Amino acid sequence: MAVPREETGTLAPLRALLEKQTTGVPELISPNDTMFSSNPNSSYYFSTGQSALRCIKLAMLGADTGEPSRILDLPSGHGRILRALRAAFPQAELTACDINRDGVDFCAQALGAVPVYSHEDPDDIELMGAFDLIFCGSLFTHLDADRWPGFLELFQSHLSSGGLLVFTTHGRFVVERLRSGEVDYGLGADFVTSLVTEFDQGNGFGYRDYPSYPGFGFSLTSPGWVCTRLWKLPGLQLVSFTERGWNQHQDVVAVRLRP
Amino acid sequence: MQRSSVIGPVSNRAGLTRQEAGSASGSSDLSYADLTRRIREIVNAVIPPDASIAVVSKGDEELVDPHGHRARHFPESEKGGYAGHYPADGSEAVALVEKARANGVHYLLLPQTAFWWVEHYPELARHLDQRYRKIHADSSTCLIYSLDSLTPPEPHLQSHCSSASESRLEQLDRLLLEEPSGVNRQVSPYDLMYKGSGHPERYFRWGPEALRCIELALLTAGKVDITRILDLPCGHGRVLRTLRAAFPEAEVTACDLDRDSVDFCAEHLGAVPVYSHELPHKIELEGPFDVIWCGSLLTHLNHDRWPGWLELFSSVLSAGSVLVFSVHGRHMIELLRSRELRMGLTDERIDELLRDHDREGFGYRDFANQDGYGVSLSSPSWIWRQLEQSPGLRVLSYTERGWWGLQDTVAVLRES
Repeated sequence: MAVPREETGTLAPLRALLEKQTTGVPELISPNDTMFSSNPNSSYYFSTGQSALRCIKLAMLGADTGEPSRILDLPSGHGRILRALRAAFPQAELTACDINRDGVDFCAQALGAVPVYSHEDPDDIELMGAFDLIFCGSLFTHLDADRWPGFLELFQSHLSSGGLLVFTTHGRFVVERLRSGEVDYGLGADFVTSLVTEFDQGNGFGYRDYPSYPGFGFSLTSPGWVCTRLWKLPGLQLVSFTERGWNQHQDVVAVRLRP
Repeated sequence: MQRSSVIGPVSNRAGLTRQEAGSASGSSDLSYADLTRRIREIVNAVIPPDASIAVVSKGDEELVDPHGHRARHFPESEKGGYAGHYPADGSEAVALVEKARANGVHYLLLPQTAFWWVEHYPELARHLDQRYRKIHADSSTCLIYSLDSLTPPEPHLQSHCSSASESRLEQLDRLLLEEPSGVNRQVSPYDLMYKGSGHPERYFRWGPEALRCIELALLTAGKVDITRILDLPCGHGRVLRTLRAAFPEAEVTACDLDRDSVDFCAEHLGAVPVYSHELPHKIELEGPFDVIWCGSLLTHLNHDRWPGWLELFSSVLSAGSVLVFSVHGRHMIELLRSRELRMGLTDERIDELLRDHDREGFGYRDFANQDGYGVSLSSPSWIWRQLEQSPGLRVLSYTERGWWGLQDTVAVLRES
């Protein structure tokens, strides 16, 4: 229960409310969920959802939005984040969208989501109606620069007035980890070297395809580069740009459709 | 879905009940001309610029002409004028409100002359009370509801609702919007910000709006214990008085070039006084601070002066502490481009300023007869390049129009 400001004079009740873990998150994990099988640590798996919720709630507070009634999670995977959204916003209609059809089917059957199969070309994705909240975790982190506008335009066209889009990027933290050799995300030294070089020479953007996955790879973005991209869509207003906002790792960008 | 963060001088905590509104109908002591003038003042004080307002106007154009806001008649015709008739019943009134909301209206204003609606359309009154936030209620002038989203019920209804019915997000939002009690309202006779504010309540709004930016930044950073705060430039305490009330245990330092204002903040608002200097490295600040608020400083400085200030702030922040500053971003640029705002600049200087910004991501021009002090415009990309020169600063948030819908706000965390 909230404690009135007058009784405390501190930020403590605000923080307690924000940090309190959302309960009732569905625990059933698909055997085909590669986000879990690649790192079968259930604490970590569920913490990513809680961290995403924290980012979303901060963005909603910043934008002064109310509870969302329609939410899109793209890419949903097998519901790593969607299950947390389900628990946090039980009255909302959730749409799960992914190229991985098994993931979408699982989200529909086990998590009560509306299923939509995604497509390489955003123009071919058959989303219905406007959403109050769109969460896009780890999509732009894997796309080359020429594929950003299509997805940003898709999201903009499916936001309700004042609706929020929250997406994640690989920012300065990831760049410096790669540069220092602290981690290579399994990419290998040559891949990392060429990626970081491209970032340094590319006005704040770098991208390389994963071997054997043309059109899907690893992107690095400076906040300035992201803002420049966003400025090409004047209908979107920047609500917040938080470095390392998601799990102390990826940057989190929140924009809303100007009412 | 947007929710207004503005709570008027008579907030929802002292709102007008339906009974009060009904009994007040037709009983204003104000002349009609005074009523319309007073309503304009209230609108300017409590509603952000550019917001869209539906006014129960009975077709009166005087009532749909609040300066700087997009006002519409309510009910509205298909062509955008007054519909020419009242809703047939409460259900239609509710439907018309929802239609207006769907069409981008943020606020519904009932002037005193329309208070009879509250009695005549009980479904509408119930709908508004239960779903929306009443941001102004005054039996002699008007009622204003924010239509931007579902909100917690009014205090007089709360006894009928369990706390569990209010979601955590709603609780968070309510706490964020709740103004600290005990804000000192003594104003210096030399306070230029007060004199230029146009309305006393407008002056006192800047503080809570800044506090909201600061609290969001602190929440993002996960920082709770605040013992030392710096407000630079503090002026005569426009924001500092709110910080003083919100963090009563903290030591608040007031710093400004205007020595009279620093003295006022020390004497009347309990601040630690520090006189500022044109050169930041000559300011005798004793850090570290947990929070630094820097409103409307970098908005007036040329690019060559930014690094010195950012270095100063960085040097007096401890690890885990937060700096929040404001900048002129896209919104101010649009206002200047359309000449809705001039900021005391000539057409020629505005054109030069915009041209520089469009080309470089940054523009600056002096005010007339003020060497080294003027108007700056900055893009996020340009600001990020400045911040990258200060290792150890991590961006917590860049928010367009974060400070009361006008200036952008940037919050950074000192990591190490």
